[in-house]
Amino acid sequence: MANLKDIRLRIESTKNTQQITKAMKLVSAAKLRKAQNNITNMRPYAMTLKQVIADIAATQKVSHPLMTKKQNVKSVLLVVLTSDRGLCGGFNSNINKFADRYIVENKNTFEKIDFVFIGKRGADYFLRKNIKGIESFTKLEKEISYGLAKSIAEKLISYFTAGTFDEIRMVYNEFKSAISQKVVCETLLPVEIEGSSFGSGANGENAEHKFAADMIFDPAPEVIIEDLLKKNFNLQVYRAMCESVASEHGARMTAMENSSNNARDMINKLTLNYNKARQEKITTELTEIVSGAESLK
Amino acid sequence: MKLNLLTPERKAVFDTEITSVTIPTYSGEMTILEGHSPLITTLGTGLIKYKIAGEDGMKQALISWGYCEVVPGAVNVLAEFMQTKDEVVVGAAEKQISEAEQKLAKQNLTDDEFENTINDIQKARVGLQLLN
Repeated sequence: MANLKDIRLRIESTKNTQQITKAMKLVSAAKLRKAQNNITNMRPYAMTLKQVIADIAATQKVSHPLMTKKQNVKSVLLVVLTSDRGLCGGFNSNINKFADRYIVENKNTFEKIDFVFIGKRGADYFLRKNIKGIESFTKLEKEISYGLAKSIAEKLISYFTAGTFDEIRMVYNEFKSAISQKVVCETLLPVEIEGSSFGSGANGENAEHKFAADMIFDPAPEVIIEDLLKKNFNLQVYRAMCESVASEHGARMTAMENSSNNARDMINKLTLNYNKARQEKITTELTEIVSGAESLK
Repeated sequence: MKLNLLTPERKAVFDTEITSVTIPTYSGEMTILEGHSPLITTLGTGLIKYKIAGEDGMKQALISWGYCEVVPGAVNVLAEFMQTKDEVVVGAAEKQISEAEQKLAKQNLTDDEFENTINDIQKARVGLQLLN
């Protein structure tokens, strides 16, 4: 049996670990709430923007290079969205695994697959495999701002318009709930426009949104749609980043909850061992005293 | 007439009854009153001024880039950036102007960078204007 001092030290250090994990859990919980707020705040903007793009595209019959699908896709740019920091369970490794598998599965389908990394974890992981993305954005600010997302989005869009890539896809963790995240891969460009409320018949919630056919456009619809499509793309990137941040904190919260529990179990087990050892020691001492007294008789 | 003023980061004004709104479009200011015909336009950088029904005085805020949609009964303003009077920090705005001017002096900016820098200056200037 290990000696008493050793056990006591281990209990002490486990307690310290538990304190840290508990604190991290609380911090993550607070940050998660903020991140969730960000997602809800963005929703009305996103909805209105999407609606208007769909409406203009349908009524004005405009098309735009950002909207047209390429016949045969040869080169794909995969944007891998991870976090800068670890200690969040399978959050980053799930993404990295997915991206890994994506290369293996599509090596023969496309001529070229390139990467852009957002977040340090993804970039580091692939660097170890000797895959260097064409660009990586690490050291993200503590809070994801629209400005940051916009600057990243503008870079991505320039790759697309320059014709370097036929498709831009993004892999990220979608926020389902505080305890579950799902790895998703979305095609960001070209933009897919869902049906407008026109033509398909006004469905309940859109019925009040009256999009007049004699709408005044200033500047021309073609210019406006280009602008809106770019904004929409910026917003998509922003949304993905918000989702990812929320997922990160959710994942970290769960991971820290688990490790706090593990620490607790460990402390219980060690305390039991400690008491046992102490008891044994006392018993031995007693026996020694008794047998000593016996021999004096 | 209802006003919705939204940015990606927040829902600033939502479903609020107003009597008039002045928006900074890309080509100048435009005031929208009840019964305006449907319109879509893009925004520049400037002050949005609106009058809430039943309240005295105009409310103001700095908005930059985005678009505005006028549909019967509602005005939807979707701005990329927004700041109210309380959020403007004089020091930060002045710093932004001087940094942007230094950037412009370098003269090796791409079109996008140039546009963004000019916009930074405008944003800061309008922000300061908001304080007066």
